[in-house]
Amino acid sequence: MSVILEGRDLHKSIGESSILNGISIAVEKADFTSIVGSSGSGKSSLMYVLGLLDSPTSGEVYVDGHKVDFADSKSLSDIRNRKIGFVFQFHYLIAELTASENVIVPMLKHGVGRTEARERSFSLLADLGLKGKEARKPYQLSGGEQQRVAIARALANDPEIVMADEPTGNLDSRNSAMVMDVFFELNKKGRAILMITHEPDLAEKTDKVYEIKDGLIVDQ
Amino acid sequence: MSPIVFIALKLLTERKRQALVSTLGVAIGVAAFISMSAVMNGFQLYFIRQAVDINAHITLKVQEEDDEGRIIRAAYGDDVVADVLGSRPKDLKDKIIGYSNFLKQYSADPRIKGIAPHLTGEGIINYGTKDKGVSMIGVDPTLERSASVVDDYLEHKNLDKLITDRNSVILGKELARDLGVKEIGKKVTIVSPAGGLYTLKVADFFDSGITSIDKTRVYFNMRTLQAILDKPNEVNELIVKLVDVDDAESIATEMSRDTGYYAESWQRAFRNFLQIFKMQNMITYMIVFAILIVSAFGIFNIMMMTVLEKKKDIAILKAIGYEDKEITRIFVIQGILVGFIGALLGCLLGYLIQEWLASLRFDIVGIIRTKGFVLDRSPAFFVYGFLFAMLFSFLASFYPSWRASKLFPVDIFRSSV
Repeated sequence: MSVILEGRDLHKSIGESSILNGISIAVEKADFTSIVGSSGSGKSSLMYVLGLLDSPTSGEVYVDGHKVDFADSKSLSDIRNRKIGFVFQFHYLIAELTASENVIVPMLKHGVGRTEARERSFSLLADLGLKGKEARKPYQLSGGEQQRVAIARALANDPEIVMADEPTGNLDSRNSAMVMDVFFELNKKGRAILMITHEPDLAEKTDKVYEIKDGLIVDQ
Repeated sequence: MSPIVFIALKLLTERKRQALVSTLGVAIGVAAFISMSAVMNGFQLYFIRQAVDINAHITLKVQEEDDEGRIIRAAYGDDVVADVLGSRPKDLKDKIIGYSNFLKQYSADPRIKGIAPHLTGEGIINYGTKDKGVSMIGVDPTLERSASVVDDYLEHKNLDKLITDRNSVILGKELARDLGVKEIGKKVTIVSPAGGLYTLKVADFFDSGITSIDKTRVYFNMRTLQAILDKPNEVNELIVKLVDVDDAESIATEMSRDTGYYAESWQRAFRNFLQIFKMQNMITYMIVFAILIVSAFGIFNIMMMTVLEKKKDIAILKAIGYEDKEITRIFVIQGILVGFIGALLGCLLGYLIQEWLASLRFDIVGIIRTKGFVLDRSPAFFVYGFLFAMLFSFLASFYPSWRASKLFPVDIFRSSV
């Protein structure tokens, strides 16, 4: 299987404190990988570095076999837009936009036309069980629905990998299960997923589990 | 529509109250600029136009300043250093010698529209029990028409009466009112500086709208005034009307050099007023700029608040691939849109205020006398107001927008947890 995202010997320090201490990790196509660890272990920092939202102090990140140049902000933005989809613990939907418009935003940046983007957003929302709610504003949706809109936004540009940072951390058990089902379904269709979680129960259901402690992978 | 404009429009239109407040701020600033400029400039232009047209673009006259050091220099030569503590003013030779040659010479100059001789002097006018000090001007009615617009301001257009009846005078409207002369044909008495009494008939009233002129001026036939002042065939001023009033300074310098007399341009003659107008303009524009700056601060404030409130949106936009410069543009566009709509509304409001001001009818009595406001409704004020508003809006929104672009998404994601 081909590796679509790889981090080699990643270190990250902020001031005197070391957050990542030489982590190497690879995500292959259609992998459902989870990273577990206690609070402050460095798992979110690892996701930010692998998601090109933050640069490592040292080490390298490869996307599709190409080394990422962290000094080139335009290229970082471009890779994030086309190849990576993000889902966070909070939905981070833009309150002024409808569900459909929130999904359209990454597509417009990618250069997709308005009509096509709109059609695709409707289709993605329908796939995630939100048919008929396209015109609703985020405040008119439940927590689970908001998170599903965020997942649709992450899938807008058909990325190779979806990174989810505690995607169910803010949901009740029913909505958590629903969101996890969406991720499993996406994975079944061949999409790589990298999930950060502190819930071992959820992690156990994924293909690979990495445990991080003090900025190091201690168990795989 | 680009994604940047799409997001900017959405963010702006969904925050209607804030957008409306900042737009109204800009609109009020622009409207204030347009209406205040129209009133101030209208007043100044009216005053200058009237004063310049009634007086002259250039006045050629005998230099009024006395040379206090002349006796010392005559006695001890030019090299002596002396401070003259006092000297009795010498009688000036208050006449232009060879003026008919100047009239001929300058009439042929293509830059000069007309030139006319004046004899001026001070006197007292008496009507019944009332006496007033007046400024007497003797004119040649035919030449006067070519060099001034005095005819335009005569109530009965009787300038030629000064030719047909040399014992007639034209009184300033305000002077006539002060004396109690209400109709033409009344007889007034002129007292000359030498004490001579002359009875003359009022032929017309002169109403320029400039209070200081209308309160003091009396027009005579040149020959009549020469007789009253005992200055036969003398003139002490030549008034010149130019094709282009802006050439007055340079042509005056030229005339002074060529004739040896003092040529005073209208800019020099009215320098005190022009200086006051300059100050007045400065104060007006300072007030208007203050209004515009306050509205710009309104935009700045709202943009800063928006950036703070939209931190999470900015973070997610960056995460999904929007670049720093695009984030800046999203917010700058909002500021520019507020400025644009505010400026358009301001232009409309300014126009309506001008219409309203123009419709007001009431007596203004001061330096000038008019019925209602005299407005300068130049389109330039609309253009400047619009451009100022756009510039201020851009400047006010740029810093918050730049700050937005510099937000680090990871910090925001971490702080949200």
